[in-house]
Amino acid sequence: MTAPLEFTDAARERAVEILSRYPAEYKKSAVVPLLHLAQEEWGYISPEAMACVAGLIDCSPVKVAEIATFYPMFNKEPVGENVLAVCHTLPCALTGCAGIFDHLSERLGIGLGETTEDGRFTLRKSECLAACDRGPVLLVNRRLHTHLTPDKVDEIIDGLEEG
Amino acid sequence: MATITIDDRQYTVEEGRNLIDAAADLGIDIPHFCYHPGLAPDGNCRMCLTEMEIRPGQFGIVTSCTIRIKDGMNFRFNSPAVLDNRKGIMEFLLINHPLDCPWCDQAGECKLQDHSFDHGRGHSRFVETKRVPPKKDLGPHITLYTTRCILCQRCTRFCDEITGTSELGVVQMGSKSEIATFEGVPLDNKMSANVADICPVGALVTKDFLYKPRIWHYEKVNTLCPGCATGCNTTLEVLHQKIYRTRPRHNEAVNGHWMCDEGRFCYHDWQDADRLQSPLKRVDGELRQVTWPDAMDAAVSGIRSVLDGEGDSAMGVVGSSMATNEENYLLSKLGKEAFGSSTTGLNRKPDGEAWTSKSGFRIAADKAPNSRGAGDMLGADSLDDILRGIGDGTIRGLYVLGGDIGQTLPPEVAEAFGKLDFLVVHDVRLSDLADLADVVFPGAIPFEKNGTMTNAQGRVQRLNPAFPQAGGAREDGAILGYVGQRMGIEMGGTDPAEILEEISGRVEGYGGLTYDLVGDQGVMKGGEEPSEAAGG
Ligand code: SF4
Ligand code: SF4
Ligand code: FES
Ligand code: FES
Repeated sequence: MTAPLEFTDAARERAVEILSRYPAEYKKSAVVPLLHLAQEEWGYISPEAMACVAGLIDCSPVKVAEIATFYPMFNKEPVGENVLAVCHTLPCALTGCAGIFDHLSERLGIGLGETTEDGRFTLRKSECLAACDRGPVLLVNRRLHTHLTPDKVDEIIDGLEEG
Repeated sequence: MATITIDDRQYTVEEGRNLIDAAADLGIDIPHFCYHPGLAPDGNCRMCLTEMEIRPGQFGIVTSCTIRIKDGMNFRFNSPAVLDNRKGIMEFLLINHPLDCPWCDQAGECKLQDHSFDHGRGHSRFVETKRVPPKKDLGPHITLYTTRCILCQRCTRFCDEITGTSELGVVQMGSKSEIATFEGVPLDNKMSANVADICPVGALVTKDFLYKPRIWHYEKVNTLCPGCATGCNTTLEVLHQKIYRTRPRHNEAVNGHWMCDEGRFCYHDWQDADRLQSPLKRVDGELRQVTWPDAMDAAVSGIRSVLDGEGDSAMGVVGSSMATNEENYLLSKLGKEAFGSSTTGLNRKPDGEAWTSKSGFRIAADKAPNSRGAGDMLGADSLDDILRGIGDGTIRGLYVLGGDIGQTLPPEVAEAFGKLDFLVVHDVRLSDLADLADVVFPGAIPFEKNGTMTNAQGRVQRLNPAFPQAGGAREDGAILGYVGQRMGIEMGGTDPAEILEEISGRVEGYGGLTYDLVGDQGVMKGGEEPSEAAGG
């Protein structure tokens, strides 16, 4: 059995607050917000983190793994400070998302799923981000950038490098 | 009851029944993958789509597995829309399928093969590369051929609903979805191998039945599991006098659709046991192999000398919870009629662990299949009277049915039996019971027996032989019949059906029972209703 991680006291308090939003017999409903909390705590959702969440909602850990692996926004491996996800679903593909991805890949010197050596950027693809009319789109951490061009992408990266 | 219409014909079916089951009762097969009558409907595979009248004159596509029959429902099972949908579903399901039927263990009993044949399009339009996820070792008994899985989730629902252990889940998303266990939490529960039975395709297989002869070569034998007093109904698959597989046989009143892993795989222990090859007789303190006539003479003269020397009640009989009702009955008859008012006993196994699944499936603490029936036939459910008789010297000889490969004699019993002047034993291997005997007759294992057993609930059920007795063994009933005859009593027929008829006239609670009545689903003795079904 994978030994569960333990939340810090502060995170534990937030977990209690999250759980309090749901009736006790439906505490499994708290799985997604708790996974977000775990990701904030540890940067990514390891099996140990899944086991921690499973313990909080009284369910078998594979049921947490189902959710954590279903949603691409949950990192299953350590990631850089900034996670860049280029949408590659059909509408974005038609607007040229492949060029955006290649540009990012070249500029950062990393391929799909990789993280820069300095640990600042991770490059990903994502499924539809519900902005199909504004493609190509890029999700930077939790912020969405639309109507991208290589120049716009450079601006975004410059900003992040400075910041 | 409800009247429904299917393809313009009217039928009367049970109100509230699941549409797939109701149609099956009528002999109509609605193709389906994810629905299983032992699990709650899930509606995920979409194979069971049919058309139902949802407003007067207007039909809509529904999943049959989630429909419960109401009066007046009107269905179209074979409309162009229905057939077209099925075709589409089949095509989707086969997109990533490896089509490795020639070496798949499910071939011949695979729903995907069947439905593909009936509803598939015969060629694939998929030109992209198929996903080839590796196979996975899910637990001690089960392997997942990931490529063959159609994600019907019968297996995950079994672990959620029936065992409550929830070891299986679907991880990843979309075309990458896979059945998986969590790191360090394998599929390891008391009923885990049932997932291989209910997997409609060849994705989940038991390691025990991997790369075995093709399924259509086997003879199927309906019998009972000898593993505990639950008496799960089973079907054995037998080829060249060897069992290759045991599977649960549906009996709602006993085991539902399931059986436990221990019971499922126990056939190995029995079938591989080091069996007695011939009768044995004690000569100069040692057991030696002898012929049947020789052993019979020795048994009869030994019994006679006890009876002649010590009087009628000096011979006792001890039945076996591994033996059938008919065998125990013949033994008790031999005791009464040939030995005269004899004392009876039953050598019970010490209880093991009892367990009840989330859904109510029960594994009995009594690890013998017929303690209840043996007790009914013998009028004894322990060795107390026998041990007392040996202790006070009134019992000088015993006739004992053994036959349990897993049992060892408790020291006090072994000590008591050791004091006897004469001991006749039926056994299947050189056990510590056989070790004490003066004459040993090689008897049959439960997989070789024909007869009835009574489970813990009091349900009388039939046992059928998978193959004849191994080596030099004989049917225990026939041996008892012959001993009786040699002792000069009328034992009657030794055919189990005839004996059951005799039992029905003489043993309380068994009145009116016949072989036919017991059938392949069993009946409660004494017409008692089961207090509670164990099936779950
Ligand atoms: S392994 Fe079998 S039972 Fe489980 S989801 Fe796949 S096809 Fe269904
Ligand atoms: S519950 Fe008992 S009878 Fe049923 S399969 Fe298991 S051991 Fe055999
Ligand atoms: S396809 Fe890219 S946002 Fe929808
Ligand atoms: S059987 Fe109805 S959807 Fe699968």
